[in-house]
Order: sequence, then structure tokens, then C-alpha cells
Amino acid sequence: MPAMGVDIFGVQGSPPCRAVYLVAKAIGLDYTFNKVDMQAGQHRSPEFLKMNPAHTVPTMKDGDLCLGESKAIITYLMNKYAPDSELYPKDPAERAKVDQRLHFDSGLFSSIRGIVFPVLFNKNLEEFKKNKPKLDENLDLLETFLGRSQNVAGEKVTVADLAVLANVSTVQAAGLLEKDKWPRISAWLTRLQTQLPYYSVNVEGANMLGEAVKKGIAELGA
Amino acid sequence: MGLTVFAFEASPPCRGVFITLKALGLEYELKQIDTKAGDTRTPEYLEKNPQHTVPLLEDGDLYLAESRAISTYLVNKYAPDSDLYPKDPEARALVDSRLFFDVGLNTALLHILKPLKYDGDIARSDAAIPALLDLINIFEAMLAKSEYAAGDHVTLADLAIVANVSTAEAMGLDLSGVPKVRAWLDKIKQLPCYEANVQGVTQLGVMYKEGSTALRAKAQ
Repeated sequence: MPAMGVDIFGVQGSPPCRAVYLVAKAIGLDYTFNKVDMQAGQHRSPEFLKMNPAHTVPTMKDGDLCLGESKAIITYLMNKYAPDSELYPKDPAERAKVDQRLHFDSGLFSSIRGIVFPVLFNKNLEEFKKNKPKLDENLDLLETFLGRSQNVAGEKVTVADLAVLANVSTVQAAGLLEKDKWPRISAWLTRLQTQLPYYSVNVEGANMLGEAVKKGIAELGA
Repeated sequence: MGLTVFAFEASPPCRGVFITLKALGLEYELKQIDTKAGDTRTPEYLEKNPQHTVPLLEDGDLYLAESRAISTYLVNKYAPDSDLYPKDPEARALVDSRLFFDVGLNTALLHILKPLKYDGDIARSDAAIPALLDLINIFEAMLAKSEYAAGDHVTLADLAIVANVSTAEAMGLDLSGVPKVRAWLDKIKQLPCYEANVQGVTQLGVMYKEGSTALRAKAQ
């Protein structure tokens, strides 16, 4: 289904950006990808700040609506362009379970950032070691969730799975998803990577960031 | 059967839920949780909420963590036509965007409060203050575009964000550079539902001021 005006401003590596691409592809939505040069500070330019004062990616523009926050973009795209989709159920309790996991995913991303920053930017082994347990704790939680239902927010695949997928695929590419520790997550990941026809939109970014982190960890001697 | 909320009053996300419940006129039973005493780590609590967090909502068979998911659920389920969470996709998206922005506010607040509460580390606590003030500056820029957090009327976004911003004020943090935020805060404080925030924010403000003052004196 073509939508004339949806612009997504983002970068490939960023998991929240890839979560948005996955959802857009899942519902067959055409969008224009606008690469943001964060190294050059494009996200702090006056034009960008006008769209999103929080200067974050992803940012979305659809006509007059400018939106920051990947999860809000995801639920907007669902409400607007695929309101009857099972990916974001309408029943209040079922929707709430998905929303709950979308919030969990924000915490998961935070803990991934807690690894990426010391490894790629600060080159700080101590900080990496201090922050790693938080990532592991979130993975333990996800393992628990997947012990209670087939997918992240229940029996069916929802946008919560797509968001978590963007994050967990990165963790896997970084060599940090030990199969023995997290067998359910590993199986869930393999299933979605194989079964989702639109998964390819996530691959380049996950590998790019994951491999950079893997290399960085090795260089730190961690 | 009714609603039950597992929470403690000082916690900003818990207060966000209390304010929303009051705004919607919903009755609920409060179950007091003491995280330091390990209440969120008992097998029974973990069964209900493996994330071992507060707040937690119990509604029949449904157990829901994550304060903002709780608030949107309450409107969707019990007041689906409420202006607090408009149905129009564009208007709703703006509320959702601000709700997720609020997650960042809370995280920044925790980076100030946790080192104090658990480690007595005033240096790490003080070092985290600029990051929160940065976010409050961003909120100031957001309020340049709309009278309330997510548009021209009160929404769930205001009710969530006020729990965090009122906490920054109660802690005595410097809000002199954000006049729109201060004006917005005064407006939200006038709402009847704000009453549900008062006890907890006062408690947390006092705790922070006393705790931080004592630790800074010790460090001298």
C-alpha cells in the first residue's frame, strides 16, 4: 500500500531505526529513507530540531506530523496504515501486553547502548564490564517471557517482536547471544529471521553494528 | 473484582499511574511495595511480574507492568472516548511520542537517585544532574510548539511527565532556565487529579534533599 509522504530519518546501524523499517515493511508501507549524518551533527541542525527537538533517530515526517521515538512511530504507522492488523491488536488487554513489551524493549535498547558506547566510543573496558550484567539481565527476562508464550507479547507475532528483533539480532551479530544461556531467544530469533519475508531490511544494519561491537570488544581485551 | 496497583508513592512512574487513575475516576486497591525490603523479588511477585518493577496493575487475569502501558490501557479499556488519549492516529501518536520521551526523563532521574539510595555515592549522583536538565530543556522546546505536552489540551503525556518534572522541582534542581516548563507545571498542579502526586513527590523531594546534603557534608 503506497503512502505518498512518509519520511523516515535514521541510520542503518541503529536498532530503533531498524525496528521502524521492519514494521513498515511488514505492513507493506512505502517510505522514503533519509540517512542522517550524525557524525556531522545533522541531527542537531535547525531543520532537524524543528522536526524533533530531542534530536534523536529515528524521526518520522508524514505530512504535517513530525514524530520522534521509534515506538510512537511504530504504533502510529499501525494505527494509521494498518489498523486491523494482528501485529498491533485492538483489544485493550492484548494491546496493553504489546505496549508493555515495547517499553521493555526500550530498556533492552538502553542496555545495548550501555555496551556500544564504552566499546565503540569511549574505549573503556571497565565501563563495558560494569554495564554488561544489565544487558544479560534483560536477556534473562526475555528468555523468561519466551518461556511463557511463543512470541514476545503472546502467541502471535506483534510489533513487539519486530522491535526486539532489531535489538537481539544486533546482540547476536556482536557475539553476545550465547545459545546455552538463552536457548529460547536463539530459537525465536532463528524462527523470525527465517520466516519473516521482510527480515532482509534489518540485516545490513544489525551486521554492521554487531560486527563493529564484536571487533571493539576483542580490541579491548574483554 | 476491581483494580489493584502494586506500588510505592515516592516512585514517579507509580505516581503517573495514580494521577491517571484519579483523572479517570477509577477506584483501586493499593498494595504497598518496599523494594529495598525485597518485596518485588519474592516468588509470588516474580510470577506476576518477572521484571520485578513497580508499578504493577492487576485487573482480573491481567498483570501489567510499565506505567505508561498501564495508563494507556486504563483509557483504552475504561474511558475509550476520553480526550486524555485521543483516538485520532496523529493526535495519539504525539501523546505516545511524549510518553516515550518521559521514559528518558525517568531514567535520567534514576541516575541521580539510585546512587544516593543504594550506594551513598554523591559524586555519581551529582554528575548525573546535567543530563536530566538537558532533557528538561528539550521539554521546554517542545512546549514552544504546544500549550500542553502533546497538543492543545491535557493528555496522558502531561500526567506522566508531571510526575518526573515535579520531582525535579521538589529535589530543588535549577529550573530557572525553563519558564515554559514552570508555567506548564503550575497549570498541571491546578488539575484535581494532581492531588494524587503530592504526597509522594514531597516525600521523594525531602528524601533527596536530606540525603544529598548529608552526603555532601560528609565529603567535605
